[in-house]
Amino acid sequence: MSDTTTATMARRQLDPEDAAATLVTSNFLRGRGRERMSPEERMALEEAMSGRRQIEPRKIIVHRNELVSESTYLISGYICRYMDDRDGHRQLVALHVPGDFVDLHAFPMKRLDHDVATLGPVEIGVFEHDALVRLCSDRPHLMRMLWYSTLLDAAMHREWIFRLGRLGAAGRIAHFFCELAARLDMVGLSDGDRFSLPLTQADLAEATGLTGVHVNRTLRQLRESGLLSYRSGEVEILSHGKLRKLAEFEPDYLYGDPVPA
Amino acid sequence: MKSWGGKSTETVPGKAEAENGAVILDGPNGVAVAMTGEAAIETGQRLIAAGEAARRQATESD
Repeated sequence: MSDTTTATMARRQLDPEDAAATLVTSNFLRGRGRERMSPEERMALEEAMSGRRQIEPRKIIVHRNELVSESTYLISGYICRYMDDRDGHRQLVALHVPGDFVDLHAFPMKRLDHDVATLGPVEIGVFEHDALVRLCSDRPHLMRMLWYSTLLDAAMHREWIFRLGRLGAAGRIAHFFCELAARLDMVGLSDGDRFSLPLTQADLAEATGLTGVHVNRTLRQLRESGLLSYRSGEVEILSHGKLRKLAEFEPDYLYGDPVPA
Repeated sequence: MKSWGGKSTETVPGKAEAENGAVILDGPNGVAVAMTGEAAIETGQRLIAAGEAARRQATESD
């Protein structure tokens, strides 16, 4: 009997709400202002997970254009999506935090148009596409929630395009941190002001379309201006108001709580 | 009403500074580039030449 099945059986002895809170997929859509998944749906999602894997930092978990038969739920750590140009220069096109379904796009598409890789050490939950097919046919509302999850990815992609197309260096970096702070707050990984982020300045440069020297200088300016401190993988937002103003950051696109009437 | 049709021609000059052996150009309008000193000097000379040509074109069209 797998660990997942054993844990699921143990949870059935608990109150459904309490049991749902103990699931490894409990962060999925947590804090998002959409209709809620029922405890039964949460349990069904958990049961569809075929296993868990620990993966080392800087490992590719999905190669561009390879056929994919499973999707990845991020339990802990950070994963990025990226594209390289002909000279090997990298552009990060998305960053995933715990609670995200990283490559749910590959479920209907069967391949991805970009690579997916770990940044720090991660733990993932594996969902075979066959299991997702059964889940979607048995539970239409849960299927809509999975669809909603990919639409959230699309909303963030639009915001990342805005960031790169309209903002200067300081605005891009400020926006990047504003978004992460909001997303990590939703899944309980930020105390509102501080969070851990195991990214290098090169990673930040690749996410914001800047050079490393530009990122270094801009981070120093943000720190000296009393907006943000980022040292040794630890982020502290010193002024949410000033940082958001600089970033032109409005968190509506993250569709956070409260659930609209 | 917000404007359509792409970015407008900028009237504010960008800021250029030297940092750790590189030239960093910030702005205007979302420009964010770092160059070697040599590339920055060559770019600067080309900008001056193009800027003077553009000013002549503007004068001729008046």
